[in-house]
Amino acid sequence: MTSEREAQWFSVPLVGCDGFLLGLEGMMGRAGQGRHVGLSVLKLTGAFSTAALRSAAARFSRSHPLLHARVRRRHWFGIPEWRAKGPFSDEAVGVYERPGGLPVEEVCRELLRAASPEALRFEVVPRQGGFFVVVKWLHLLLDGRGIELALHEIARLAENPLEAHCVQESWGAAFDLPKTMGERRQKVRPFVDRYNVLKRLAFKSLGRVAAEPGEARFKTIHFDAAQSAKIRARADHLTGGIFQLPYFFAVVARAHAAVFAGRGEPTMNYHAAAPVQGRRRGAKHPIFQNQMSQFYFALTHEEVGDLETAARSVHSQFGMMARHKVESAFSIMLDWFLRFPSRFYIHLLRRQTKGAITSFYHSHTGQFMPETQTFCGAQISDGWHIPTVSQPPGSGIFFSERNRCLTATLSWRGGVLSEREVELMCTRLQQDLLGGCA
Amino acid sequence: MVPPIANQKLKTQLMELVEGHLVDFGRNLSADEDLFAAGLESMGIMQLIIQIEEGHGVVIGDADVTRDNFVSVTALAALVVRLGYSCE
Repeated sequence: MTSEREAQWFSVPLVGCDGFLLGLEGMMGRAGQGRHVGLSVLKLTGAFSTAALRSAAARFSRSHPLLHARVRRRHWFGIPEWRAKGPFSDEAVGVYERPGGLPVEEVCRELLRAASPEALRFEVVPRQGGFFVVVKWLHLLLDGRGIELALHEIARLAENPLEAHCVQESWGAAFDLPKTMGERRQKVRPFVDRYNVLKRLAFKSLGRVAAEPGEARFKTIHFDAAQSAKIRARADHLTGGIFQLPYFFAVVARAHAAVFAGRGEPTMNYHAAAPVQGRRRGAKHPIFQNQMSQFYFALTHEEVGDLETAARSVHSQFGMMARHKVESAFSIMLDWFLRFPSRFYIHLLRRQTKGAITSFYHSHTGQFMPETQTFCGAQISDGWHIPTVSQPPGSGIFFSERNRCLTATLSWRGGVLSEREVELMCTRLQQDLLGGCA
Repeated sequence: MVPPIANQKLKTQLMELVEGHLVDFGRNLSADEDLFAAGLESMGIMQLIIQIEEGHGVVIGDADVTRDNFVSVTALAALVVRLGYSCE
């Protein structure tokens, strides 16, 4: 029987980074790049129950209105909203089984090529000694940390098969906004000042300026425990063992520099954002919506020439932006831009950046599902994300860790990088992470 | 040597900063608990540095921003005292 609460309309405004993602997805759609999706891969060991996953996925689907919602604006300059009317079916989360022996990378490539009707889609792929579970998700709906929280909740539901579905509110903004317009104008200043400094630095992306069709492509590099320990030791040496972002950001910039050098452009500067996650580990936070803000970093070609110099520069910029609360200022800016048509938003951003948007995308999402040890009966032995990127900029490198093993995912759009350039990028990345001659 | 009561007061202040403003642990934090294991991350550490500098009148240099100095509230209190904060 459907309760009154379940049958009502749900209407949730987009928040913060959702507006950027909405604009980006519009640009990608017009260019024939498809929707902005991400994949997450769980490597499972031992007995896995597909029936438990189906049951948990169905209850998760019925419990979360945003999985069924579409983005609408009430009027031209209104804030876009997720809107859905209950009661909700179990069809927003699909579970599919693949034959054994299929390489998981092949399943991932197929998932990235095909459009899915569901907001979340699971593919179960048997392997020797266990299973892979690949999840496809919409970046407009949740971010990398959000999908980990969603998987944790599905794992919890799988362990509690008798728990009935319950419509839940799991959305909201992680960054508080000032109440008055005067306060907002004052607090947005650090972002404006920062951006005015950065936009003077000439930079390009590896992809062409014009948004063009191209399939989402990726390559994952898995580092074993010994290699990962070596990488952590190198990062600790440069960062005091605390701030890993500067080290990994510098590594990503240098991997891109290797490709630019191969193209005969060794004096390229870099300008890119790194996400600042608003959710804190161990705390109860919304699963859905992009709970992020951003910091903006710049590296000159001289700085990128040396890993230590580049990491120290990013570290210093990180400290400066944190002191000036640039992430809060950027949240205010994003909230204003939500009111504009998203096409205008992206147009403005591209105009400011000579079409490139950013030099590259980058994130380190930290520990992958640290609070979850088992999934539908099986042990999670490894896990990583495969984000996709828009073109422009056309490329990005992303990191995560599980059981103290690091995974790097290179993502690019077809036509942006040649096979040789992918190899160049991987080689520089591994040399910088593990030590060796660059 | 810092008097035990004054040192306890400093630890309480630091614990409030960590608990109240930075990380929602959902339970009481102990002074010797590993903050990294409990969920303290880069942004939280940076905000903690700023708040300690503003609230306790010390300057935490890059060389002091190490895992050992931020691993627990006890370690943090020792750092703040070492940097010249008077608990009196």
